[in-house]
Amino acid sequence: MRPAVNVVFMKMAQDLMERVIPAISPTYHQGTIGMIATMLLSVAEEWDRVASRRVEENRSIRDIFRKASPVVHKPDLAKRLKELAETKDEDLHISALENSNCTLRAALIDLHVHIESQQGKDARAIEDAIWKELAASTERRRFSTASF
Amino acid sequence: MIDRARASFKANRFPALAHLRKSRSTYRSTNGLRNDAMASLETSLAEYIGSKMPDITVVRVDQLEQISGGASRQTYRFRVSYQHGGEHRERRLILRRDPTQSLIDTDRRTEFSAYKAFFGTDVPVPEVLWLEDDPRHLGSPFFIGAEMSGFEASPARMLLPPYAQHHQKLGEQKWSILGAISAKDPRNLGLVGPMEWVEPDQCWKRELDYWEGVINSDELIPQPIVRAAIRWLRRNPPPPAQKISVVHGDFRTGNFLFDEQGKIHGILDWEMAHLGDPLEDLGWGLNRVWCWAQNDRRGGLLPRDEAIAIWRKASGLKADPDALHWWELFNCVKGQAIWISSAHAWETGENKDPILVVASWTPMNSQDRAMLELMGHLK
Repeated sequence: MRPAVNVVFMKMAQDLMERVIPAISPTYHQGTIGMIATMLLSVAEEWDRVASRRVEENRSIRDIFRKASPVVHKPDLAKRLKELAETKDEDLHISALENSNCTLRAALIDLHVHIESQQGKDARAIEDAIWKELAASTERRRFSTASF
Repeated sequence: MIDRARASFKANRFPALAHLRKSRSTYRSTNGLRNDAMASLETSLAEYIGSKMPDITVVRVDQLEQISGGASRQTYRFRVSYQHGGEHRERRLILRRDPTQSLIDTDRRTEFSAYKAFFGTDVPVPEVLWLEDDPRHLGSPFFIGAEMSGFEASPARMLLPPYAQHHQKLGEQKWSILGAISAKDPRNLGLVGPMEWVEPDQCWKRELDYWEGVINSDELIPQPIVRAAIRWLRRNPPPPAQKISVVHGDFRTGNFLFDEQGKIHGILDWEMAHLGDPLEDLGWGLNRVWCWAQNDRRGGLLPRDEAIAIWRKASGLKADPDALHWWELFNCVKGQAIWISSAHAWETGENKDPILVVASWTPMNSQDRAMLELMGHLK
């Protein structure tokens, strides 16, 4: 699609803020248009990374599962992690990637709970890897206009 | 529950919208969206106010305009004019009306009680006039109060001239006022009853249970960071509250009115007020999601330690570092619950207000990062 979607959305948001909003009343509706402009800016920033960040994150979580499954003492969880570690993102539709991401992050929560209860160096190493992945996940999702 | 969770958000609080908050006089007055419903509401308001003030005659309501006032309640400003003792009088008022099918009776009463209790004290609030539960007057329950007009509330505007030069002054007042709220005995304010009592050792649990319940109910996608934070909070409970205070529940930049000289005139949005640990309010105001200037200044105003010192001096209370840390992390959980609840409300409910989408998309990742920082995992 040309012109590029992110460029179009940014321009539309700018137009809404600078030209449309001052021309309408009451202020309540100005606020509504302003929120729509804010959403366009968010989508513009997300557009280019929307698939790549999910692929990258899913890969990273699967890698943690591969390393964790030998350390996990609960057989059901270990089996689940092993199976998930072997999955692949072959369907690159955003909805499919999002579904995979949700499945993986749900399992990551269960792994995190389990590993917190385990003693030993191996458990701490997995826990450390989980925290690093969670921190990285917020970098992937970060908006340039975010407060923090 | 959902309504309480999404109560706190207003659209005009984003830096991206900073320049939108111009003086009303700069806008072209098309008024093209005015309709019969607004005219009918003006008539109903005039009838209601007339019934509440039997000494007045020729009651007229006009200039009714919906304004941003949170997602849980419709907010309007209007002018009422009338004859009293042979004199013509006018007053500008605010209507806070529940949406149809709302189930937030408790919150409406809580908000009204809080305004009434603090009016005339060193905690500046607008005067509230009438609380009405009967939906026959305006279609749903509501309350009416005085409008504090001519002031600004937007954090985005606060970052710009002429307000930007007053951040120190605003910050000192903001945390001093919070200290004044924390210092007061809720029994002397008449708020024990309108607000549920809680024992000092139960404050943390009641609040954490409530907000974890909101997340359990409304979570649309797995949230590993907030789940880890909740586990940490339960493993490391704070000490009992040093006293039971009125907790505003949403005390932050964006919920007070200020002028161009940097003076605060009114604390707004008491709909999440409750009794509890005063450190809860302090922790909420320090939340990173309110760092509007994208730096370390909390609420866009003052460094964290300075804000705490001002609050301590004004309240006469302690800010035990470990306890405050617990409440800061808790407030990140509460914040995330609100953003999650907003997304859920938009996806599953009839309310398709874009405020619910913005309240989900924009702060959620910042909230996660704030939790990671407080747990020592943001490098």
